[in-house]
Amino acid sequence: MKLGKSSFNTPLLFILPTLFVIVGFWIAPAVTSVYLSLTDPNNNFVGLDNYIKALTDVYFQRSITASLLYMGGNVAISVLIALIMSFLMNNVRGEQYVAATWFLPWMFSTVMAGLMFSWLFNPSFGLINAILLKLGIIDMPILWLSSYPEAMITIIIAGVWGACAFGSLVILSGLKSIPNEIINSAKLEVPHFLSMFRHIYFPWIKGQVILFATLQTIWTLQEYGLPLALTSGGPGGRTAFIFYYVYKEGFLSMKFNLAAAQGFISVLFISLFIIVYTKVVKPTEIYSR
Amino acid sequence: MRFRDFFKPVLMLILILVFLFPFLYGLLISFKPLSYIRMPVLDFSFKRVFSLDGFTLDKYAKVLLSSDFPRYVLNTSIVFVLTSVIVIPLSFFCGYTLARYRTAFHGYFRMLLYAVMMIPVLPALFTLYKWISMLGLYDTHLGLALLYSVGSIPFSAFLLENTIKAIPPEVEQQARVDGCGTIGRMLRIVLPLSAPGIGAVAITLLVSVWNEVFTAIIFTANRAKTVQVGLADFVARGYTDYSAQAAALVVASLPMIVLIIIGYKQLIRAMTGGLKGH
Repeated sequence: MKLGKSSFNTPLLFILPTLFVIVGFWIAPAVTSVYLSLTDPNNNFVGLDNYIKALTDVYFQRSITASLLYMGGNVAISVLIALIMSFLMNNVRGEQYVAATWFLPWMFSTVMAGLMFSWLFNPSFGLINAILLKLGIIDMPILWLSSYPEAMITIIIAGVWGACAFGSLVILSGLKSIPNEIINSAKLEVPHFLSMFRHIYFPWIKGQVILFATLQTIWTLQEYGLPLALTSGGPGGRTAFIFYYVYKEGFLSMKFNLAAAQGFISVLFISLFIIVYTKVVKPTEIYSR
Repeated sequence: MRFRDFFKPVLMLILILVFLFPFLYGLLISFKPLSYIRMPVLDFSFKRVFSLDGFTLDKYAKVLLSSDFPRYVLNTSIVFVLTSVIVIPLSFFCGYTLARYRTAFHGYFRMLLYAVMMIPVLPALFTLYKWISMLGLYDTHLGLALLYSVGSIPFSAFLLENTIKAIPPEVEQQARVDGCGTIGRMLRIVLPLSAPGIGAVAITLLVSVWNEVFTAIIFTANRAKTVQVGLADFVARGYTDYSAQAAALVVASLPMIVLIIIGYKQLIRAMTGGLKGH
């Protein structure tokens, strides 16, 4: 469909302000940051030194490992719980109210999630340790936030808490797209839920599961609020996820050049997953966070 | 079959309660004096916590009357309004262009928006930090709003593109026959008809601006400090008054809760607004 007669100038005029904003606040600073990453603080060109320094830095390697572990744990558990919940929610009476209540954690920032879990998991005053002690499961308080792997477990729990709701709504939309006749006739022939799941449900919701898993992968690799509010990256930088670590290197230690290099390494890294996303998901399917 | 009919809702309620618990616990301790909740785990009294003993509004008074927190709420609201003022017109123009024109640069522009939406801005922030400071926009509402705008325009543009595509072109065609120019059609016909889409954009902006912390913590110090940065400060400063933290958190969660209560359906439509075929 075409409405405008002067088909080139008018639309260009419409998008010009946006192009201006994108060039000014996205492309130009990114390009300048490339230069930043290739120089030292005194503006001398140092080639790839910052990149080499970044990649050989034990703490940066540790932050990549931490992000990957967090991603793996978070995505696996979130998808599982989201799947279970979407099946439980489907066709329940008052489904919309159930879904709205269930959706609440997703509306909170990860800083807020981190705060809530810091009250529960505080080793000396928190409710979780108190309950475990009372039940006799442990006889010494567990250092949830400052020992490893406990800190990682806590942070994954807090991350999963905020992520599941969105996943189950995405999967639920897939469940809703299955025609009733298919389910009804299948129920007569395939009585067992697991085989029903494999042959009837899964083919219909596969796309939604993959969509949620890839989005969640990209989002968890950019996680930042949880270490900020929960563990401060401890113990020994083992929960300092990439973004948190680069933020600290850049803005707290003021090592802009090194941090720019680290930033580009992490963006390249995340871009691998974004490419997967664009391959498996049609680029027109877009969710915001 | 009967077993499953019973089992499904029960399991569902348990899951929901488990997931709501952290927030409900926060709500509970926000009404408690510190001595009622900050007990060493070895002699933790569940009765003291899970009862209405010591009910008090002191912490809310502290957060709302004698802390900077209301100012952070105001700051975040100002940033939200400024971001909307920038994003909504720009993304409306983009959405209109994407929906109604076929031009040479169409594909490239869509790809650019898509790249801005997906690729993290992290490395650019180091340069932006210098530039924003040079422009005198460090620690200002406008500076933060501009930074948020870049990230928000693509999604909003795609959302409005879908909204505008759903408006029958014949409506516009008719106006054109009646002598209405492009801008006139856009403002008098398309704009009012895309009101739901614009509402959806405003909702996603509210949620994202309200919850954003990464950019805010870098680009604000005091004057324009946002709610989430204020919350993160509790941890950074080793502030241990859980009750006051909880009261602040409850205050910070109110807009989101209100959003869920009054507009869950719109909210979901907004969040998944760029998705086609549903």
